[in-house]
Amino acid sequence: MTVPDLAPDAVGDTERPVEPEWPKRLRWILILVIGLPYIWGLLGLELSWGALGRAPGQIWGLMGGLLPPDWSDIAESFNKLLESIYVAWIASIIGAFFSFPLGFMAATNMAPNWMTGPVRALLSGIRAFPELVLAIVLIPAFGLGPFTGVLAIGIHSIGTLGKLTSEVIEGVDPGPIEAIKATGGTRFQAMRFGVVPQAMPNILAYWLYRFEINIRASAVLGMIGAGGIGAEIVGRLRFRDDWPKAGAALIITIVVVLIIDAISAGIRRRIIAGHPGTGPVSRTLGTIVGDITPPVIEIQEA
Amino acid sequence: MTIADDPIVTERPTEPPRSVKYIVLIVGAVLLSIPFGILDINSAARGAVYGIIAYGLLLLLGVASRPTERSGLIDLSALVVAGAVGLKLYIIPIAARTTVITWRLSLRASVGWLLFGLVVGWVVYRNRKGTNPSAIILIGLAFAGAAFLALQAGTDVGYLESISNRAIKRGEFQNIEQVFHVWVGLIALGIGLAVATSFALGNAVVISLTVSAVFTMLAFNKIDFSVFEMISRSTQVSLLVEKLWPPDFTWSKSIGQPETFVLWEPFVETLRIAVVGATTGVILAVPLAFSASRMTTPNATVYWFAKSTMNLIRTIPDLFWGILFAAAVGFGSPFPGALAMIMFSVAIMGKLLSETIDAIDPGPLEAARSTGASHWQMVKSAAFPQVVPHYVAYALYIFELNVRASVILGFIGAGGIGRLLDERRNFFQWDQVMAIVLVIFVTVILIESVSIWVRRRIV
Repeated sequence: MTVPDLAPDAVGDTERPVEPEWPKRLRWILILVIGLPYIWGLLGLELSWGALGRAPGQIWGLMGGLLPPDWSDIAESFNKLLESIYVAWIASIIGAFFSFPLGFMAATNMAPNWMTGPVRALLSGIRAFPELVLAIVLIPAFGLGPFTGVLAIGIHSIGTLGKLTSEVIEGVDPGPIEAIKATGGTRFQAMRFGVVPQAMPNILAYWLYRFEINIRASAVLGMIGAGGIGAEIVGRLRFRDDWPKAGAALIITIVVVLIIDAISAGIRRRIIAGHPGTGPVSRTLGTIVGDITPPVIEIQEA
Repeated sequence: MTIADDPIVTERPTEPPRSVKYIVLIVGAVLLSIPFGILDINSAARGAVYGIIAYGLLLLLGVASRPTERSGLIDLSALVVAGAVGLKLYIIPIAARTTVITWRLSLRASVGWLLFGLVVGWVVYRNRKGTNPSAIILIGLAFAGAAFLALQAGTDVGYLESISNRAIKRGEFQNIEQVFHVWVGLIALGIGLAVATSFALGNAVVISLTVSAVFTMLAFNKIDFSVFEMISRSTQVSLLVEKLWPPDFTWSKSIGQPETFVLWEPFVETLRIAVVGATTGVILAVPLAFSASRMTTPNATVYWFAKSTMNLIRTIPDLFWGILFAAAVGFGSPFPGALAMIMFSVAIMGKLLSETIDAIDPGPLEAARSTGASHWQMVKSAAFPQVVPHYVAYALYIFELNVRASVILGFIGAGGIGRLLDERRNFFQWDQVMAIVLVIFVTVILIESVSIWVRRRIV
């Protein structure tokens, strides 16, 4: 029995292997592809280092104008903020309502190819328009106001939610669907009992997440006069005397948005991860109120 | 196994006749609430009505939470007392107002509902073994929050703002006022009871559905939006086509001058902002992301510093960066736009890349360390190659986002095509607006498809 000659050249070959050429070339190509447009971009930007040097002072001045906040008109600002939240809510509902069937139609494991193609194109076409641009296009027909804001944000949400929904649906376990089909279930039943229970937690979480994003978007839409807190802040920023009021409006906006984010994140975590168990609040209360026997889950024998 | 074999299960206790139990409760409710009716608003009959409502409430909770006969009367009286006192607390600030219901007033008025909700929570907790004690506070807060929102939304219906206290005292607006209070009460009861019921049932679906429905109703009411309006206004889409079509791609810079293609310059400016912002941001984010990952940064101080810097940058939205920089280095030039886009890119790339670094395979890092490599050599030769494909994919995605985001920057005076869009809109030149929108659309779609194609080949 002979030892198989595994590396015939290994003994005599002391040369280093020749380094392949193409990574080097690729590097140069990359540098050209990225560097040239970068330089081209820099040339047209009207850079001024002097202005950049003065920037911290200017920002400080801006902040000084906003602070200390003037809380006298806070009730009106709060109502405007609520309006922004309502706009975001309705837009999210519109987005959720229409994106759900579209998500099914765009998922490759649910719909035939002739359907997924156009639906996907439609969704990415919608996503190509930022909310602000969409709102401007809608103004000539629907005028300025919350209605336009709702439509613009709602349509944009359909695009993003539709894509996310279809991705979730494509990721479900095919087992239950096959099982339902094997027992004679229809296509609709397979969707209802095989796909929806699996996909719904994630889809719900995306809906909530979209609501968080939409609040920000509706605040921004106020800038072009589509109602809400954005118009309030921009209007206040026009006159230097009103700046402290704008500061107050900004502060409550940030605080409320952060609170809603926290609540929504909590709900999303609860939806995805399940019941968290006994929390600190209930423990503290339990010491005051009395017994805190955790819920007994009765497992029934078959 | 049959029930008879089970030694624990003995005979069922005989249940008292149901009708007797209910009659006792009803009589008790009416009797109990009469004095509180007097305390609240001047009429014993009204008190009786409150009693019956409270009883119905208890019944509703009872169906869900199986009350024992012993606790029935105590719970009922607690509910009636809380209801009457809460209503009184709710009415006092509302009646004392001068003109508008401000949020402070709403807060004070909702204290009454908080009290009532706390008692409802207590009843649920008492009757349902195993309910979390925090349910008491949560149910109380639910009632109060619902009343607060209903008051706030109700103010915007319009008629309440003009009503002064004197007018109410004269009795002119009695009916409107009462309808309003019934409305607020129904919303607060709806949300609060849904929360209570879902706690009693141990199921969150009831509450989420009710809260969503009520919130939607409030939102529709507040911003005058309705499905019917949406349908009736859908005919206006033809108006859209009429005004926006055909797009007008060339127009003169000022009246009297020959036509020029003015779209080109701002468009190029936007692209420049996006290119510079994305490239600089993506490069700046690399050291930040590597410092903000436990894998490559053992030093706790550096790690927390990098992490909190990243979080700070991410919290501030891109438009706000734009406003800040525009105020700092001058409105109208593209420079502040590029600075804002740098921040925007750093924020996203920092988060995506640091999370990717967190998830890399630690094997090569250990191998590098065991061959005596220094920290930098380890990061460079063992960590960096692992994330390069992801990095390139993220960079392309960020460039895509940058193109879209830099369109908007013009609205706040940070340069680019957004400025032109805003300007044409203010002149009501909708066909020119359409031209700009079409250019944006085609660019975004083109860049997106190229980026997706490259990303698919890399990863």
